[in-house]
Amino acid sequence: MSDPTCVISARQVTKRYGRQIALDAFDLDVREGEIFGLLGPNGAGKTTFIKILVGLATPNSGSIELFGQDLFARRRQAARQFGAVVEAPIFFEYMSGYDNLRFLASLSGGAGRAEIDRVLRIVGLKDAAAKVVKAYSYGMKQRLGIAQALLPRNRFLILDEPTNGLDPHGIAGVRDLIRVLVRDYGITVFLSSHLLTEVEQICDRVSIIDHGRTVLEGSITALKAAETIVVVRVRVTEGAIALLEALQPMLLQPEHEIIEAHFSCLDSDIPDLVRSLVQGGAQLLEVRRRERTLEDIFLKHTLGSDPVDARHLRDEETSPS
Amino acid sequence: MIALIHFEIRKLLAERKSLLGLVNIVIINVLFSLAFYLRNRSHADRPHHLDQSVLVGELVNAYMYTLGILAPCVFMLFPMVLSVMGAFILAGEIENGSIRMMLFRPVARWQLLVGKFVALSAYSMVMLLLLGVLSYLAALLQFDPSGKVLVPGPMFMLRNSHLLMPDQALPRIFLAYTLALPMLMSVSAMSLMLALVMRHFTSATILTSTVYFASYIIGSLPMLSGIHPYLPTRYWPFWKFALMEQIPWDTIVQYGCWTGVYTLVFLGLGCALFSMKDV
Repeated sequence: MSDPTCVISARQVTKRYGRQIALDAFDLDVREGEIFGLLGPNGAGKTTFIKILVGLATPNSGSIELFGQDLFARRRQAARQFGAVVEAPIFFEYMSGYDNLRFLASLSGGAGRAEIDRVLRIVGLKDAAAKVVKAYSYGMKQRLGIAQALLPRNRFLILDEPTNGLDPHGIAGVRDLIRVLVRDYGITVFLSSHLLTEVEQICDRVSIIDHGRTVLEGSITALKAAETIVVVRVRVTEGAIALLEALQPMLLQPEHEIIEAHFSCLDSDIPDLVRSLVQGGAQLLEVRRRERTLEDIFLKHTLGSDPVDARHLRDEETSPS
Repeated sequence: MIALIHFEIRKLLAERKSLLGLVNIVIINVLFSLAFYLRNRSHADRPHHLDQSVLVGELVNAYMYTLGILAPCVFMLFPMVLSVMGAFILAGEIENGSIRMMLFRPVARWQLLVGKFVALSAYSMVMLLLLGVLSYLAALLQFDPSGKVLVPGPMFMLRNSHLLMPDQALPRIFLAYTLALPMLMSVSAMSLMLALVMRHFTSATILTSTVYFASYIIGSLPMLSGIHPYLPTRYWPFWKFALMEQIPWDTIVQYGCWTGVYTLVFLGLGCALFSMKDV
């Protein structure tokens, strides 16, 4: 029997596109009242899973329960309990924000003027409600997307990349809005993102998905506490790189005459690591312990120990584009 | 379902592309009026020849004008408009992603398709109504309000020409306009079905127009007569039979039924295509 506190309970969900497996026996549990983040590199299967959740795609096998009900057998009932924004908030641009909300809500049983005004106030679009959506900025559309997902009185929000394409003010605004929704309105939020710092700031629990499979799941606090990052700086000498590579660092960064390497390990393993380096002949300049970030955890679990790939991904994620 | 239809109609009303039908009606009325005005001026000083075009010209009144403008609109203009609108409201929404906002809701895909079909049918009805009213008003500026109506056979794809008496004319015009609606509804269903095949606005518009006009062209080639009974364009323009002196009701019923069958087949295929594919 499924956990009654679970909003989503997905088991062995598999989705194939031809020969390509987008989701491979994927499992997931999202509990009521939490902000849950689904993380993964591009093409990991995040959006595929969300599309299955909201009815845009059908899995090849597996089961999903939403509020304890079979999503596929009772899709219409399930759809009355969640709202979603998937990939981008695309509205009927030639209609006003208010009309978009009114007509979209009417498909789920309808919402009165007071209810629509309430969600417009929550997302801060009350004054722009009469404008056609074409005149909205991307940030306003994202907020309108969240507003429509809240109507009529949905208990569960599914947000796919909710801060994508937003400027820093927009990102902060959406982040605060999500917090308010959970804290003040008791709404459960399931979001996917590859903006790790955002997820780290906002989510209670995360699941990291890669190649369609869960590679790690848990609360952010527990994940960060589980392992430590040890930053080692050594002088470039003959065999130094080979020695460091043999110890499987998360990141290996040669800079002029110094090589910086990041190792993921337990606190109790640090003396062994230092001993191995010294015995291998490395000229140690610095050994520093650093708390892991979600990005460290993500890189470790989605790219294994390939430092070159890891650096590439890090660059991509921190680049402005 | 009512909320869905209301939403679809509201979207059609709010979208500028919906003016396409109205603009077409105005343009063709302007061209028709201008053509008749120039013809009347050039024929005023010349002796008349007794060919059919002259006879038609002499018999023109507001009734005949209103009926005459129906043929090019229903055979060509409105199917083109419906190809664009059908592609826009379905393929366009799939392409730009706005349809997702509706699919998240507790609405079945077949309901969404039927909602769009009803909205497009209502749009067709409005186009026919506007065409009838505007063309009659435009004709009143130049011609007598009523009279006998000559129905030239070639213009309406009928074997012979027919002459309707003044008391027959108005009900027949009304009947022809009314019976044109099922044809436009069937074109709408085909347009939506092909929109689901292509899922791309431009391609869907081109494909629908191509299928429609190719069907007419093939239907007019005697050497391809083997396929003629299967072409929808053979049955769709059954409204033209309302213009014959003796209405062939059995043919109207038969062709009307086939039009209905084609409409249902297009919608059924559309539902299947919509349900099978991910969005």
